[in-house]
Amino acid sequence: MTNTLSPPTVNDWLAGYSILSFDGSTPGDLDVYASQAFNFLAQPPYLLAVQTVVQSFASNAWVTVSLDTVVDSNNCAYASSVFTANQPGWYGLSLFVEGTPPSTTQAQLGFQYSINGQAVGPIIRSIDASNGAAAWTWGCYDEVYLNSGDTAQGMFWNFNAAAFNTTVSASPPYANSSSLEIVWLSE
Amino acid sequence: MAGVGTYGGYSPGVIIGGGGGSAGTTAGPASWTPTAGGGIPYPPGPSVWPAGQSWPINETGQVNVQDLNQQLSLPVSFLAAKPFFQGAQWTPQSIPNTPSPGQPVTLDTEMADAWNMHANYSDSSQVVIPDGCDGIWLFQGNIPFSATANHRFRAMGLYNGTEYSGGEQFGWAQNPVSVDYADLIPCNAGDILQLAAWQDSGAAVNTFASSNSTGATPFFNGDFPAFRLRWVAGGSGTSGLSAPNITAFFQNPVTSADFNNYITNSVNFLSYVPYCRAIQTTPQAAISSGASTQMTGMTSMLDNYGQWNAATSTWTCQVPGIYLLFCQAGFPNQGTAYAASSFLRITSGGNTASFNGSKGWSFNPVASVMRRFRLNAGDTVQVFGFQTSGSGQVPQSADVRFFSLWQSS
Repeated sequence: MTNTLSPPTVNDWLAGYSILSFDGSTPGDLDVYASQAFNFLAQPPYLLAVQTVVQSFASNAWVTVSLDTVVDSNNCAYASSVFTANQPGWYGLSLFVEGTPPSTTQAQLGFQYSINGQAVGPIIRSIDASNGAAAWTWGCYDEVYLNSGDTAQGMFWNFNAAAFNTTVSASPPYANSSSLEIVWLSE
Repeated sequence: MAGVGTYGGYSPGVIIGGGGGSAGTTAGPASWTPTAGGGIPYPPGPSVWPAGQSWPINETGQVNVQDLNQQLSLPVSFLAAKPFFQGAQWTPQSIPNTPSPGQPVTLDTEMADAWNMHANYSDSSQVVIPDGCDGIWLFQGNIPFSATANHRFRAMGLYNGTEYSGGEQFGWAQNPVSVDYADLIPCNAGDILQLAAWQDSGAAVNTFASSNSTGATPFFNGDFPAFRLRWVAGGSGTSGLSAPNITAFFQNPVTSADFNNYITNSVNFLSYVPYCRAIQTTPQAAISSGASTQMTGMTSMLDNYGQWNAATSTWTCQVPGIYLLFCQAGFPNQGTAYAASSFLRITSGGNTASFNGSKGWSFNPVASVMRRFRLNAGDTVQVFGFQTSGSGQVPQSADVRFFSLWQSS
């Protein structure tokens, strides 16, 4: 299932006894306060996006990780590698980058947010170096509170003097593709 | 913000235990047992209903509003806003050489603490599990160091002063280096958790905290140590359920079967979502340099849906959905840096693929993966390790682990 539900609203039930079928509380109330609540919590907003087109990371610059293919999504917006929250709440994010850096290459990665219209970050969540191997991988994770309309995107900084390319898988399950995964966690 | 002295009889000044170090340990809450009802702060469901009573329709055909509040509103309120703490360090901290087990990371800023788990006027490294919130917690953090060349830098988690597990261990010749930590940990109210740092450069090294240059949003700019702790499930509950997907809605007359199907089962599932944690309890033989090799001898420490097979060290999906998956592998100190990685070997629909995370490069590399995937019932996951030292290396059992957590249908 997919949905466009909002995070649950908790009902303040009237005191005393309530006969659901014919007094002030109705089955409709239960649909709002129970069915929709549980459906939202069982399938909160999420995004799984991957990269299928090789990207070049320039030297010494923050670059948005380009993620051209949405594998799965629900109750969110996504365009040009930028996730936009449709529902407010805490979101869990995981970012993965795979590339072919030259020699030993230090890199840092994290997340750029836009919160209430203000750019925040990049928030660096991992810094690591390759050892000269032909291929290297980086990963990091974070949690952040986003209001409706706030955005998040994966960011990468290549410290090497030379640019290098990512590696990609062109088809599912995209095992060698860079990826961004986001799930709503709580209000 | 709350005083930690208000929780569980704990008083500030707890003794930090010894042990640990770069090789990690498996110490921690080995004797942990959940409290009755799994620690969730609302009625756990039918198991406590009076015999012969089928909640919530009472003998007069009515619904007691207190039942609705207790068994619907409170659970929804709790499950939608699960206990969570996130703290940050903006003032760099000196980390001594080879602290034992690790140097607790001070947290001068609370980014989220609605459950009053932290006090920064006491020992600001400590986060205390609040009353009524026993259960399984997701423990995450990252620590940037102003590193010096070619030594080991590590993040780890402390449980009541003792190392629970270690995280990534990197080290290289440029500054800074930043390492991550994540694990699932069972806790009772009053337990104290700390993110800790470890390094062996031979002298004290500062953590790295970039300047807070964006005043309007002071908590979200740059590079700084961060500690996140999130309640994810009760310690006991009802398993074998499916995730809620309510498409046949309540209609007149509302029956007790409706309540059981739509409310009770939903609360029970969402309070006790599938989770699993496995560690290596039987050391394995050396794995060859340059050869991806399965981590074996892994036993589940937490597994509420029968997902882990110890004989094959394989996790099998029981409830379809999007899962948070984590694995880690570490290899011994060789006195010279080499690369290592761990990865998730996932078999889905008959196809097998490997998914990586951060590779590590260190004298004593420990590398981990945290990813999210959509999995179907019957899909499997195994933990693999890889190293390039040039010779066979025995994986460090204390650093080999896996966990999974259901997060969405």
